[in-house]
Amino acid sequence: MERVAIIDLSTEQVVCKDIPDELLRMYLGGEGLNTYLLYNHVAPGIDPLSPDNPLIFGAGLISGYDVSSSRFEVTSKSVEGEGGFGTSNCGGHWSAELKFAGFQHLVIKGKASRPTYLWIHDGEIEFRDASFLWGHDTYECQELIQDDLGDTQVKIAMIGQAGENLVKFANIMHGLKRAAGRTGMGCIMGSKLLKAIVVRGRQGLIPHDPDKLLEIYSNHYRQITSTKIYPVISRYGTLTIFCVANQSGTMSVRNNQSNYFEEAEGHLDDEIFEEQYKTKTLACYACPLRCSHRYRINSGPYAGVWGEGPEFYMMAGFGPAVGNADWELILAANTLINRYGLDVGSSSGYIAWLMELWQRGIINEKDTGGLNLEWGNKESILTLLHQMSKNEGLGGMIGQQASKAVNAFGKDAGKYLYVQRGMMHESPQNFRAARATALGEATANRGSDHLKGRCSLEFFGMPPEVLQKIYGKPIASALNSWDGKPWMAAWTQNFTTIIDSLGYCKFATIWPGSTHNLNYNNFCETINAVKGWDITPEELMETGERIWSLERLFIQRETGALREHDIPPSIYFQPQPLEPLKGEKLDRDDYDRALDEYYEIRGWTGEGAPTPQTLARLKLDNEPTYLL
Amino acid sequence: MEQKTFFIRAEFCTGCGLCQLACSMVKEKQPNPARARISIQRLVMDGLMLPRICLNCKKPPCIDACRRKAITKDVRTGWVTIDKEKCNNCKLCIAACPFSAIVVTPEDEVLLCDVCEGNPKCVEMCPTGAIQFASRAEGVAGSTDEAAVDVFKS
Repeated sequence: MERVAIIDLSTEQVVCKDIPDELLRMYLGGEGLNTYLLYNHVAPGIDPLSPDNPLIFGAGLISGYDVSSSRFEVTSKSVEGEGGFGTSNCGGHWSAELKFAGFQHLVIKGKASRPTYLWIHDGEIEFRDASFLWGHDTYECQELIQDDLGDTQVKIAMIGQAGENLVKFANIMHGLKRAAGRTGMGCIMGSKLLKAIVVRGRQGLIPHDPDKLLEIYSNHYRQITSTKIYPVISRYGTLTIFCVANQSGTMSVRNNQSNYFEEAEGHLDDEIFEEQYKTKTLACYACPLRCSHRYRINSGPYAGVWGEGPEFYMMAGFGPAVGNADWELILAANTLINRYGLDVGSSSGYIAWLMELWQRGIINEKDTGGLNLEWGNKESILTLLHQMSKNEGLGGMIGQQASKAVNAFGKDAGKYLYVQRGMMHESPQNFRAARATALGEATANRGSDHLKGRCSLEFFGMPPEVLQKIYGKPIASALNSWDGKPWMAAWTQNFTTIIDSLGYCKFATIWPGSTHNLNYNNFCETINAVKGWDITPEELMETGERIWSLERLFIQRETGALREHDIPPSIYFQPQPLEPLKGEKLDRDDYDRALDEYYEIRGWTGEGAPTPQTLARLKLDNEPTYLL
Repeated sequence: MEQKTFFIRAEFCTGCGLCQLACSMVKEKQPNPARARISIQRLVMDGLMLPRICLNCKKPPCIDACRRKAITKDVRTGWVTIDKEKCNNCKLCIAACPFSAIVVTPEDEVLLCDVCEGNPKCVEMCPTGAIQFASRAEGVAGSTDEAAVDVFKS
């Protein structure tokens, strides 16, 4: 039986509840049930940093049971951007361990009276003093916790100094690189004086049909390891995207001023990383994809720097986006970001923005406190990261204000700040030519979100028959055609929401563009073997829609901002300067028509609110129902 | 006859634990790494993942340590197995094993790999070849590098 623990840090009380089967089937786990818990436990209009804002952790429903089922979701009212829906997904070993410890969800309320960490082991939850951890980065923190508990095999989700100092884009970190980023979940954890959640689980999970599950598990393993993407992803991880993205003109260069970074040629690529810096390959729980890498720099100005990661976003965000072509600077920044617990997309995005303001003379040394913000200035990039985390100087101001920092630099500064729903546009991306992706990301509930809206199959010029088979409707093959793209965007959002509710890794599914990877029918096999249900792909798709619309209701309730904030950043409506895809842009009228079509598909009004009929169809008409 | 046993290549272990999940599903009918007959010590800070499983020693110290003669080595196959009817979970074998290969569950029960009759699921599910099952006389084929890099199974 899946359980939720409601943990009050103020009173140090815990209440455990079984999750009713009916609710489980309607929301699954991970993002889905987290959203239900959020909608039911947040009083309308509360301040995200108040003790009453719950921080909700949720392991996926399938997490622990199947191949590549390593992920958990952290959800709260967002502290970054408009203060709407805050959520984030993270891999590693924490999620399955939480299940083995006897819990699927944790709802953390209140505020501790002193720095605290939670020690969760085999059904027990303890509140422990974390004064000795406060002020330490995530690497130091893990070693200290292992010593404190006398156990090296614990799994830890924690914040670094960025979370402690309430940086609006602070992450919750796990291991040396796993991160629940965006929307400031680490900031909320810091506001509760909660340094870490340490888990050790040694209980078994009881599947409904173990023999069937073993068979499914073996089949899924073979399926994932026999795709064409597998040899690449298991060798280079997401770094392999870099050269493709750059050479196809979808890179953000110097804060989106250009779309191809010539300086990267021969300097920034996945093979150079593998040959010169990679020391070890690591994986999340039960995942054959092993996309994570340890690295070490042996010589030069950053000699001795070591860490884990980096991902494509790190490489692009601290590469082309800030005008840098030095791999070692990217690795040095990656180590800092992971130790401090900062978000890659937001921190690199704000640095790129500041550098463009410097380039245009909008800010000068007086504004920067003496920092030289020329493109690619390595020392300044690292200094800004230190400042953000420690809340000092210019970086500190950016960290505390996030997109509101625009007020400090006058009117012109806002023209170059590309935000959506108050969230920094994910800096390395430049997807104006890709229509479904542009729409899918802009309508995502946390704003500017490739992990929900990126329609990867759009980029491969797939034959219409293949697209028809996958999406069930005609979709244009051309990247810059709008035909069928609103459906593709909505379908992808529902699909990624289901993945994040089940706890699968998106790279084990068809999401990154491998049509032979796991799909709805595979999810159904596992769910039915685990739970004994008779769930179908159609039911799962509707579940994705339900969760998505409940998130939308939350945004509507908390921010009131719907259609007018479903628009991509202004730069998407300007033509791209360089080949390939030179001159590509979104046309505002075309976009508005596509948005109308998207709302119609979703059963929402022209303003983007779910209609009463849609709410009734999705069984959302009585929310909040307070069943948990 | 040809005797087969496990070979560990810890440098290629990614720490994913697919082997433990497979083992516990085969042996316990539930996902439960704590009751798998193979364990992984994960040294996260060092990036070192250490898989541990019975290597079927030629002269197993666990057999000498066991007072109830619960552990035996099959002369023909070379496999070392434990008779749970005789075992009283005293854990003397744990102290004797030089490879920390014998598992103690949270319930204080002693578990030892039984090689799944020569067809171990953990090996089938290892994506990197960090754990292999091969002829004792020949070891794993080729050099260490060739043995374990890019082992893509169909």
